[in-house]
Amino acid sequence: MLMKRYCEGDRRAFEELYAATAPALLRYLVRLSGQLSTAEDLLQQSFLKLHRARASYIEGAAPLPWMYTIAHRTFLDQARKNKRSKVVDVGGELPEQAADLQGKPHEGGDAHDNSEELHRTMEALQSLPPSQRQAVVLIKLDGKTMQEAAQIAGTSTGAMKVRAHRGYEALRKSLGGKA
Amino acid sequence: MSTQKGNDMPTFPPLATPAIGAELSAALADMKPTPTRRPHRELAAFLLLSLPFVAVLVGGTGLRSDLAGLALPSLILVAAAWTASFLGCAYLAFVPPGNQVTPNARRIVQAFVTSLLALVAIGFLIKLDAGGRSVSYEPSVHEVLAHAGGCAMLGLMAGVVPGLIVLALTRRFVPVGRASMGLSLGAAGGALAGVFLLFHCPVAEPFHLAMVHTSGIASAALVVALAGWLLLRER
Repeated sequence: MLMKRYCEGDRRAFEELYAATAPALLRYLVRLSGQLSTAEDLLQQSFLKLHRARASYIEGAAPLPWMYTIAHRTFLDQARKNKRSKVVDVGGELPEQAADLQGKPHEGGDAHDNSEELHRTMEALQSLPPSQRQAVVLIKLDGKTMQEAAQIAGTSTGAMKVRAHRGYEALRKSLGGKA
Repeated sequence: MSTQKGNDMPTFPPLATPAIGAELSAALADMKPTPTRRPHRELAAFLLLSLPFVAVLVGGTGLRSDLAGLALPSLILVAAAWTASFLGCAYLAFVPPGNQVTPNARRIVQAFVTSLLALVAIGFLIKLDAGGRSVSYEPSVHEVLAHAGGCAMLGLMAGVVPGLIVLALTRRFVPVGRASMGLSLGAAGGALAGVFLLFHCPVAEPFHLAMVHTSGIASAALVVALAGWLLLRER
């Protein structure tokens, strides 16, 4: 409904769509790129692409998987431009208070420990091949179902399971069995 | 270490959503109502335009000289197989699975490979020979190559044209799924070229029908997929 109003030229509908989807897309892009500033830039580029491509939206279709796909493609294009996306200092760029997957502050826990663990996890994530990284981020971090993740990646649920399993195993190995 | 409940990955800090940037704001400032895609209507237009395209090709190059002597059931069966491949690939290029915006790459690859294998098998199994009126030759490497060039080239040329036209028309507004869309459009074009070759080429050799005529579907699919990827890259 929001997409329909937005395509009809309602700017307010775009703003509502942005408010509803940008936080999830930003989290996704941070986890892929490992840098908040890069992710913010990719988020703007992704919405710009969405805006230019709004004519290719199909009325009644779910926009979020499409938006994830655009965001992922934008990340890949950027990574290709930079040859390889690298973590500079995730801990220094991200706020220190932990949050759950919905972005709400996490109750309890040691913020410093989590920050270190997070930094190591983000570094390990960057070492994964893009398809495995996408699978781990979507399923393990974003909490998507196999079917939703497969839809975003444009692949089968079986292939997504394999990618996620391999990615998670590689991550576990690189974190010394802690993931 | 703090972990997400039900997940042994570390939790992530909350992120403030950035405001809408200057470039995006500028683009939104002159936003106009935009008609959205109607895949079935686009598919219908593509199919309607494809018919005169084949008619022009056959009209321009001429009907096969042995057409009247071919067994009608075999001709209908082979024509139906090529047409079904064309329709299937065109459908997948234009109509995404329910509730989605982008074409399903996996289904497209499956349809492409299935079409290719089925058409190769049909080429070997179904005889299209009008006796002395069809062109037959010794199946030697030299003879096969001597008769392959024209059909392979015609199949590729006829196959890539519809796909490239559609890609050029949609270039402005297809941000994702372009390589798979190209593959499917190319395969559809190649299958359409197969229909054209069926009514144009009088060669009766099974190897020619199975491998040379189907080379159009493979080469057109790959060329248009590559074009889709290159044309729309880094938009």
